[in-house]
Amino acid sequence: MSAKREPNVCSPEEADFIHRVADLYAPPPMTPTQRTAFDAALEKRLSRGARVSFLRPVAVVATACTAVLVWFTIQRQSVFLPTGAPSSEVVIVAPEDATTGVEDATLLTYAYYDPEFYGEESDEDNEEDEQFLPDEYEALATALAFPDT
Amino acid sequence: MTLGVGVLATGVAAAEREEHFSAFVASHRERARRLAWRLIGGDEAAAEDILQDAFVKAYRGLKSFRGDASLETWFYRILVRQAHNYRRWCAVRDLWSGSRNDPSPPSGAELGDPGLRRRIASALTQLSRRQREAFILVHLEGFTVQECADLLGKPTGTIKSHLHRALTTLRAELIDLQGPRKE
Repeated sequence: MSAKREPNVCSPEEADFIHRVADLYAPPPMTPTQRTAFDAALEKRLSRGARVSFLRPVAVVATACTAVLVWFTIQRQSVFLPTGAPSSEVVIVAPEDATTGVEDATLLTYAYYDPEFYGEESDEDNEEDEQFLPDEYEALATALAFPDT
Repeated sequence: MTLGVGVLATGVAAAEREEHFSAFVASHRERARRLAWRLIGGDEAAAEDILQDAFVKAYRGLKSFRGDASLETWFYRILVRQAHNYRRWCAVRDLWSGSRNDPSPPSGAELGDPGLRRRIASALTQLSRRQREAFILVHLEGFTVQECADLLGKPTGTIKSHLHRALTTLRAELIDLQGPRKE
């Protein structure tokens, strides 16, 4: 009957083998220069980490605000800018006596939000509307070759 | 210098905590670097990177350290995990690049026999992750079986089993190291 030996309690041969492995498989110790460089790099990383952790909430809020601002700007531009393929809900209508930009913007806003204002869209409506478009728009549309103009 | 559990815990002034952390780094730097070097297969630059990462993580996590384990155990647990993550990352990188790196790069090969060191590193890769970690922690770094069990989160019986299998495998792989020792 063999006595059960604790695996971590080694025989002399095993202990000798382990010592050899430990001696052979080890890095050279750090030189004082390496130690100094290591400590300096660590200190730099720790201080940078503290700064980053302080700025993180600020960065999150700033990013969120920027995203909202960009989204809002894009939404506004999609209402006021003419597009090549107008959707079924948005029709740009320029009245005969449209004079100022403010009035145009107001009309366009009504046109966007009030379906009764523009009614059903048809090709005839589009053709009729194009008669009221300024010459500059027609020139631009021709130059850019909007598919529906 | 060995720190008590409560020294770095919450409630201690920041300046005092930093001072104690510096002392902790100074007292564990060399051993931790050697452990990292052995765990990743002998890359000196990578070992220092891993050690830095471990110290940074430990420092940032001090506020959440509740003293369930000793600070040393907690820190070395982070270090072992960092080393494991590095090995895993290397394995993925090798898989994608279609190459296999030498397990023992030449860095830090000024001492001893580089060929033997490479062979030991290669033999260690034959072991499973837990066997390798247990062997290095207990037999090469001098942790007790209990400390190793706490560190790896395994029962002591499992660690003893890993140690036994690791030693058997390594002795078979490195049979020429078992002769009488040359002084």
